[in-house]
Amino acid sequence: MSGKWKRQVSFTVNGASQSLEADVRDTLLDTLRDRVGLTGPKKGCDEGVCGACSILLDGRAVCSCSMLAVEAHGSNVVTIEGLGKDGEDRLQLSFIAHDAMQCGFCTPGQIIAARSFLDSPGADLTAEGIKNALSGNICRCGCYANIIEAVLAAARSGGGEP
Amino acid sequence: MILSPFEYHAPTTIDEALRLLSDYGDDSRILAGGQSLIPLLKLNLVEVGHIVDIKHIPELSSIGLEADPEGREMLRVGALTRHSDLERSEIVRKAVPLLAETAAGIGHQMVRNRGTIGGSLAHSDPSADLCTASIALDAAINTVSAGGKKRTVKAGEFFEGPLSNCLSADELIESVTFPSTGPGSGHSIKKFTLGTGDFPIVVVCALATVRDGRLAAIAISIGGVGGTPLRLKDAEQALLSAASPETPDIGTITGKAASSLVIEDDPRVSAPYKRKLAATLLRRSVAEAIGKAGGIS
Amino acid sequence: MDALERATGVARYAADWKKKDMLYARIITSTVPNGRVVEIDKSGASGTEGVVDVVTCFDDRTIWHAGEREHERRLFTDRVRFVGDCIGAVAARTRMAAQKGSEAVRARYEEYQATFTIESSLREGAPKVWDDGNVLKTRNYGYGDVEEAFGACSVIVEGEYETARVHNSQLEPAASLAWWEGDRLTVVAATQSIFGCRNGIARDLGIPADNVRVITKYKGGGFGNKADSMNYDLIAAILARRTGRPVMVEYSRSDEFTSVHGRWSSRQKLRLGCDQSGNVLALEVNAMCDIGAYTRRIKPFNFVDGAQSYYSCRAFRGEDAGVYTNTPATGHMRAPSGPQSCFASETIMDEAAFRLGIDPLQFRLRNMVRVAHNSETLTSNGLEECLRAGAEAFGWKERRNAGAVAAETSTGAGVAIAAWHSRLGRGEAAVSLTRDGRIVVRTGVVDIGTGAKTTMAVIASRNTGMPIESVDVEWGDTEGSPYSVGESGSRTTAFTGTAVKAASTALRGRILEKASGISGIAPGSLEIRNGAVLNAGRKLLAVEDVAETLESELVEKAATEPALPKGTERLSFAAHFAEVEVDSETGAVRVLKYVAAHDSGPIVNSLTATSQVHGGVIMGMGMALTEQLLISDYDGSVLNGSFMLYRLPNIKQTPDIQAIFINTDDPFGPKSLGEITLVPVAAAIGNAIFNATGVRLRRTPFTPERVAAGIEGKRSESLPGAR
Repeated sequence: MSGKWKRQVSFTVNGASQSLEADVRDTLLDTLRDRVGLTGPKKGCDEGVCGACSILLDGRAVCSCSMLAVEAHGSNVVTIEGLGKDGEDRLQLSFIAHDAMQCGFCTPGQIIAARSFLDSPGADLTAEGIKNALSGNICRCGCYANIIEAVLAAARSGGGEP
Repeated sequence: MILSPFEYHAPTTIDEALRLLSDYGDDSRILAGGQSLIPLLKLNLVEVGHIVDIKHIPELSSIGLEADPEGREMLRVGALTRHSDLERSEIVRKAVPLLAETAAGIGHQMVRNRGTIGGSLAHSDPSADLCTASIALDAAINTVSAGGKKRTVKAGEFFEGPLSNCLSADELIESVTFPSTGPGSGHSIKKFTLGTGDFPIVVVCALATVRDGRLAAIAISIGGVGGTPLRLKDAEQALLSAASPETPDIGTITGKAASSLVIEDDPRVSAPYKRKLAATLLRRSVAEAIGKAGGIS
Repeated sequence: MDALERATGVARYAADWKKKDMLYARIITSTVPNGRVVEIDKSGASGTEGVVDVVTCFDDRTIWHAGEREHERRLFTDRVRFVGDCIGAVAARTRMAAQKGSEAVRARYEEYQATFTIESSLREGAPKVWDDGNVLKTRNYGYGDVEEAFGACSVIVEGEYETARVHNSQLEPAASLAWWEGDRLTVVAATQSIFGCRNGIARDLGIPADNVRVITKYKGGGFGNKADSMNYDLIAAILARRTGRPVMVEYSRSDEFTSVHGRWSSRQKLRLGCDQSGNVLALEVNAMCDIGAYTRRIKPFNFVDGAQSYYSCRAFRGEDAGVYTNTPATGHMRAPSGPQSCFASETIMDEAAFRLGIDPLQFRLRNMVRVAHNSETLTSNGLEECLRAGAEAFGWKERRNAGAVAAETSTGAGVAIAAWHSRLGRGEAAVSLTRDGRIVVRTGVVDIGTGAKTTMAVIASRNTGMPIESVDVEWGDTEGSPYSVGESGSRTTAFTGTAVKAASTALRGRILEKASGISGIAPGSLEIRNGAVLNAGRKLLAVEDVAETLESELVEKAATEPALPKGTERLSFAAHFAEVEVDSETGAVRVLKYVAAHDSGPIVNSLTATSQVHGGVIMGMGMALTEQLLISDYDGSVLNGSFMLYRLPNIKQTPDIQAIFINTDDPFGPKSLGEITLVPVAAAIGNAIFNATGVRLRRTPFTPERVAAGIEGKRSESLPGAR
């Protein structure tokens, strides 16, 4: 493969600088999982529907499967692994306390989307608001009722700041 | 998985972007939020030699108010304005509430955090929420092409067919302007989807102005029933010139509008059912817009 | 347990593993629905940069025994039976090379006529999916004299019901990583049963089971589609053996829909007879399922186990059959046949109640099962309490719609009941006290999301007297774990839990003996509570103190296999109540409120049990309202194999769900729960739609268009001026 399909990508991941040479075709998801070694973001559908691959890009949740790694150049990326060390993040603790997960495969994406929602100015901190914010995160185990409770509880206890 | 290689460009000025577009012409694609282009590339439905990522051009991201030559207040949003920016912006919510509400209902949070207004209009999906709203809102699409040539196209003339519009290969949407919604106005967007986050099967936008208890203006658009979103001028006219202006028969007028639509088969729903959806959403949307505008006394 | 790992992203699922020099594999699939591969040209693939190996049906003749119930199914087949049948695989250094390589393989086929529906498969001279015919043997079952019973009925209702094919669609796509060290094979699999997977791989590859190690630490859901060796496990193992390198097979989402089985569709004819006062006298069920080109190893189709196991009925006759078609395989999905069967029978019961003018709740209270299959004693039966407590919590009377269809929206309420088998069976566990005073539970169970690990810890904690914080559960690796059937059939708590209980109880006895040796007080006068050894309520010493005196881990193993006494039956029960709002114009249905009352015996862990109920209800809502795997009538291929087009339930549709547990005192302990939670949902929602609109839906899913058509039909039926 010739060099012009490769680009140097420099970005911050979970607070640490990363610089790597990426094939322009690689998604950010594959790059995070295969090259950076962060397997928290999951590949559930690879088509931007299930939300399991969600990461924070400059503070907002996006599907890392639906962007190229090269698009992240110069950005600040946070994955589930970067949210709270040892589960100190209130949102993560709230998910655990409310049994808001079964198989756990969608959980990293759910928590990232919830974090982005709680951090957005003027977020509608009601069950309806949470449903709107998390409608892009599919949970096949059907934990939705507990997820709503978990995010509501985190919101009540101060937006889930660590 | 994207199989075909392409060259990736990330210009930082509009001029640089235009030069790339003009150099590579049809072998290039503009990448903004990527919520349509990246899936198309991954499905290998689009093969292109050059991708021009415009996200590093600062001039394309802005939200502001200005006055048009007649002194009317206009909202101008840069092409890179994301749906979640529209949804959250106090300026947008106040000046053009239908735009903010439309943006808030697109796809899901991750799509709204990434997708842009310029990208959505340029993709020109006939059932896209923003394309449909832009027509009801009389939006003007401001473009620039090679050599810095600028032009403004009304939303109603911008779309030419499914996924096609009047942009040339070396042309870029710079911004979109919307007349601010005046006092006495009410808006409504109603859509029908088969699944949460889906593209709508049918989407209807209505914007009504009521003065002294009478309908003074109304704009109605519908998406998902033709090659482009449509403005329903006949229905608007009928509502404005109803025999008894105090009580225009909304159901009859919107029903007539729905029955005159050319509706083609859709693999998801039958044409008769789609027409019924159109009639229902049109009636509900127009009634809601007029109601929000203060109602007709 | 494990929640922290899941919530922080450190939990490692199969696709998260990496091995040095690992290759990626892609499957090569048939493009014709019925035929024979005549020739395969590999040169395009072999010539693709990065491709290391290409294997086809002409190179490898491994039989995948778990892949089909009645016939031999080749892992790579030259006799293709659906678009997507696996004919080979490519291994390459990168994912992209594997993809390109698989696309570069050219196969030439001899094509046969194909059949894609039950009707065309049953037609005289129909194209054959298998040489010995398209019908998989029918099961006949019954009791009593059906015709005589129908003769005594004053109301007879007949109906035809259809359920669409739906798909497990667990969020984790299939993945399997295999490598060899000499003649020893290790597979990191995404399986629900590490021992089932190990034994299956060993059988299919013809090697001793002891030479196969299967590891599954985390599993992203399964709902029944990963209970044995799967073809991707075998493909990874075969390519790894051929290349001498670790091989990872990853399925894409669209591979999942085509290449991993879903739930079979059904077409059922029912006849139900009641006497004047509304007693069910006779029931007849005739069910046909479209099972695709292959059906995974399953018990008979179980339609005959449906309604007659939750109703008292003087006479019953049922038969069911599977029909092969040239479409993707079907197999286990959470309560195989359960929701299909329940949908038909609980709908016809509702129709009968309506015809008789009896409240549907009263109809069920009157007719619910008291004696199983008209002859067997139930070990416990909390169905009546489920109905009463559920109705009370739901507000049955207030939520029933007595009025007509409103202009824009109408609401209504429906009820449905179900029973599900709650077998007893073999479980093995080892429970030990370590020298640092911790309890370690070792079982072969995999936690696919049902909270099994926590449940095992709770059982060990209760029966050893140690606090839950001191209990560790080790599992997910065939090396070092006792045998377990794995997590399927809602039996983890019942089977393995029983063994954990036995081993824990024995361990407590051993600890008390040791404590007795230290304290000089007879073991019978000692007890363990919260980690302390007590005598007459006073703490003598900590279990940790006992542990310190140990020379090695104190281990107790148990293998339990309780059996039901003859003439008895053991069932779990449920009564579900749904309130819906129907848009009278668009036909869109919204579930507003849902109450699920369950008798699953004594509940061990109410938090995770409640989550199981939530999950079943949501999955049932998908089957009822949005999910349908669409099959092309042109070539039998899957038309909507993506999450964009196959619509799973979303958080926005989540109603107010309440779970109620009737903790019946079953002599054998906890009964099954995971599967029955889904069984009555579609029926309860359909019955609620009938109550809201007067429209009887006999076909899932209840799409807005179908509901709207029903409402329109009702409108045109009604007399002019009636509305």
